[in-house]
Amino acid sequence: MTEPANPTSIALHIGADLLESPRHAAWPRLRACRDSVERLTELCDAAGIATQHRLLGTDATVGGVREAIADAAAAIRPGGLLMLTFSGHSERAVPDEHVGGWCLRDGTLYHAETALLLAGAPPWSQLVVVADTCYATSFATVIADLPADTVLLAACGTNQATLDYPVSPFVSTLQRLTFPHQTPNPDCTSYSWLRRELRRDTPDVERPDVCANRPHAMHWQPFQPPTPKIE
Amino acid sequence: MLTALSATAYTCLTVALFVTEPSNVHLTVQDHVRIDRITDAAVERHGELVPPGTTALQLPMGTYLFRTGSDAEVRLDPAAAVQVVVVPNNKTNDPDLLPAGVPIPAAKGDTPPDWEPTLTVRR
Repeated sequence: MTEPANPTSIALHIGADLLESPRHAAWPRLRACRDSVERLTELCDAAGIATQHRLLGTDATVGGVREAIADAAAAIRPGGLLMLTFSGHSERAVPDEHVGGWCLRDGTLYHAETALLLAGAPPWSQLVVVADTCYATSFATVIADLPADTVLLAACGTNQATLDYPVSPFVSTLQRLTFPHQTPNPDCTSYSWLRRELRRDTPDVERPDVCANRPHAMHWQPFQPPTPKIE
Repeated sequence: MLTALSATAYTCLTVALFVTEPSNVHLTVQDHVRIDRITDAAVERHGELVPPGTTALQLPMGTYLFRTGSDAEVRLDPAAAVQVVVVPNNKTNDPDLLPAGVPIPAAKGDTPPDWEPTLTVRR
């Protein structure tokens, strides 16, 4: 993968299909993780995001993911786009303890900490988080105060679960709606449109969602950097 | 029974239908439900979303899975060759509880539902 000196767009893909912490070790290995990462990488390629990093399996540790998110947030420039994708298991929110987290090889990265790391991205950049996991919309609770405009694409609601199918229906639909056959879908002009189409014809028990920390971000062209602000 | 807290609760009933001969099934649900056909290699959606109410389904031989957030009923025709199983909401898919053969996908979350709706099976 290429690494421009001053990247305007960066993607970081996390595929946590290998869990070794005592709480998670007995869980079955996820089947769709790597396929989801592959599809999301293709989507980013089609969107022109030249710099992409992956943390899969043994590399998807809490420390490794922390460092990668911090580095990506620090590298992004005003006018740039940082896309963070997660495919794996999640912990559900526990009242008065945490609002949820993503299960990684050796533990859990809680959403509040992920938001702190993403806060390193400057204003006038754009963050896009794709959560291909259970309780996916719970990540929305931590994006409100991020300096950068942030959009969350979630596989299901806060109190909903997704199943480990060989191919994630959410990710494959996302790919089909945005860059079918690696070419832009001309109908996909905003995150509002994408939300409507992702939710169409889905069961009540598992409904994707798209939300943003500022309303205007819902009108942006999906996966395209924001227009830099000229002072 | 749902309470006032239900809007924020995690409710889910997961049901597997093991069909050994083409069979007629009447499914009664209270929400929009997707039925998936499961094989070792793939999961395919079977037909359109099932709307609230009672819907007659013709199921070819195979393994099917659906999830709902409310109580549901499966009524089998007398000649139906269908085994109906509530899939346990755990991470292990205890093989003692499910017919051998096709693996039932696990949820990608850490906790069972706050409330598991009831399945009624009638023949």
